[in-house]
Amino acid sequence: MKYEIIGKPDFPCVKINLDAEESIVAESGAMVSMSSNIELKSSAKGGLFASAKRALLSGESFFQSTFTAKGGPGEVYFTSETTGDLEHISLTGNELIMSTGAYVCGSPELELDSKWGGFKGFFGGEGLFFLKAQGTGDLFFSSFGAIHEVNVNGDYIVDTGHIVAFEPTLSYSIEKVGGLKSLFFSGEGLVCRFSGNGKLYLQTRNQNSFTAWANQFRRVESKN
Amino acid sequence: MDFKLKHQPSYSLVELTMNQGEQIRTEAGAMVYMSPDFKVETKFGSGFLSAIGNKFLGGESLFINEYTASSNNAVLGLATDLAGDVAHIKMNESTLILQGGAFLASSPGVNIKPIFGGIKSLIGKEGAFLLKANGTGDLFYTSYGAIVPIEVDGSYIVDTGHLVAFEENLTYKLKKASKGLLSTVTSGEGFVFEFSGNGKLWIQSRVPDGFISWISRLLPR
Amino acid sequence: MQIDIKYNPSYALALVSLEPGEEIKAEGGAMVSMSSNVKIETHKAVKKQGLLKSLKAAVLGGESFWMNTFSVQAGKGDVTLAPTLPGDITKMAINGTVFVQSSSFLAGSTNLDFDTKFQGMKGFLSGESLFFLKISGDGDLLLSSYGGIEEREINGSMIVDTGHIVAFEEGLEYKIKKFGGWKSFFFSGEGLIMEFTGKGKIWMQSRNVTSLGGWLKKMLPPKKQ
Repeated sequence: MKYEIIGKPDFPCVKINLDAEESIVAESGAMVSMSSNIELKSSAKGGLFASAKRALLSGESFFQSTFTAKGGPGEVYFTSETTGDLEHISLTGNELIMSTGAYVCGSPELELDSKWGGFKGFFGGEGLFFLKAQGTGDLFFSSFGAIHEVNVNGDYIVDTGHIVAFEPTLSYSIEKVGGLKSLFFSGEGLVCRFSGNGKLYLQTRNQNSFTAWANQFRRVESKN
Repeated sequence: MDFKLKHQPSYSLVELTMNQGEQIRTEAGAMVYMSPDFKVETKFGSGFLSAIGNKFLGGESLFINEYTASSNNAVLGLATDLAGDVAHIKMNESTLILQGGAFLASSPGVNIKPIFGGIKSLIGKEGAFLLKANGTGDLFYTSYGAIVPIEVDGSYIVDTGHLVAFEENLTYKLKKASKGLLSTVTSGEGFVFEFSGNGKLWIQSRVPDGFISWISRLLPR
Repeated sequence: MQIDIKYNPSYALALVSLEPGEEIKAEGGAMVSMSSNVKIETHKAVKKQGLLKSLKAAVLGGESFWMNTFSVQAGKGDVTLAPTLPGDITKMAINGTVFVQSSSFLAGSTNLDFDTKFQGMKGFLSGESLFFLKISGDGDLLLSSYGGIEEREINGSMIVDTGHIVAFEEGLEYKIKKFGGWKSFFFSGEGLIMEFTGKGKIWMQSRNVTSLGGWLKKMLPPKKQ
């Protein structure tokens, strides 16, 4: 399989070139375009229960699609729904923890498990859900905004809405920022303190803030 | 008329510099800034886009603004609503087919006419209708996301929401994405265009509906 | 204080490095990440009392009333800041007064003075209220834009769609008008415009926040009461 990330830096999509009978697994709806010999099969990867658990907890859509080039090589373009970047990472038996909705597509050999993020928002609001990817293969993930890589060495504090992915060598805990007044009014809400040594991928736009901002425009449901 | 494409590729804006008497037609709401020396007329679609019901328009507003420069070096900045790029094409007795929502502006020598995408159930959604642009002059069209060119040689499939433009010599068929009912319902790919022939097409790397479903999943009830 | 801007023009991030004793004030919610020795103090944007009512009117502007001041006592500290919407960040050194559209203020030196200038004219259909922050002093200012930032030197006059205005220098005269005639106003999609005259700089953004709001209103699922 060969890949090329096109349309960087702002709205990239990934072009996958498959050899005959080779497959790639993608989030439903991620296909942009493809050669006509690509066969599309939907399956609940890892069994129906694993899929449902994953979808409910991670925000990932329920079904994954497997794209296979039949009778010859083929190409598929995949994209994400977010306004932001798209990156590739090669996993060689190691793991990567990714936040809600960041997964785009990956080699069929990768294992995707849902992992409970471990906290709820202070007033029952935002929690954070993670998807764990492990195995050997190519993984493509997306972000809201640009992807900003940080090599953590010690302690680093991040607003939870900006977390995309991190290596499990980092431990994390949720804290409030500043004093009680800061918690209520600072706009920062809860933050995540990462400790240890490892790579952290941040997104330069905050999906929680944006969603809260967008929420003000929603029409109110009439009670008929 | 001179033009400059700015803030590419994602929040693109086109700045036109026009001389007295020159005209440009734009989608309603596209004006960002302008020098005061323009006469602006708002026209209904009919006569420009033939009169078809609003629900066929799939996002293109029915109103067009026509700007006529009243002196030389009049400046007009145009941009579309959503994030994305702007492309300029110099038409020379040529034809280009655009996705309905992609039209931004054109000079008077370019005719724009709607053509029906092919499946009634898509009315109001992406792929419901296409615009055929032909003639001589300047055409500006927009994308949501990045514009990616693809050379078709044989046949090629494109998700309807991602199509921006294609050359007239390509033939197209609107179909469902995958064989088997379960796959169709669950795979997320609703409808696709299957292109055949030899020619160029342009796709956009994002879909507005995709962004809406992404936020909708994150919104509180 | 060192400020670098990365990932512009579309997902710009401001990287601020503070020396011991230095501080920067930013709009509420702007922090992306920070080193663990940085302190945050939350306070009101404007010192005057009784401004809560008029500031509440800045609904579309979305500027929160509260600001955070980041400072570091011992050792160097890093803070990264970003706005809510996709787009650019511009660093400006100001020495005088600028009027900044409320949603475009990201951060600035703590010695800058803030005041509000509320326009009060509601858009006929769009419901837009114009709300500007009057920022004066001698220091650095970080502005954010929805889309790319376009700087223009005015010498004469220029008409700008209000949703595309980021900031303008004091000294420019302006008038808020409807675009075109009655029919144009209802259908042209332009809504309100500002006509600037005189000499001075204006900053514009290549996307319209009000249009984004309108699109979201049309497309998002409705919410419960």
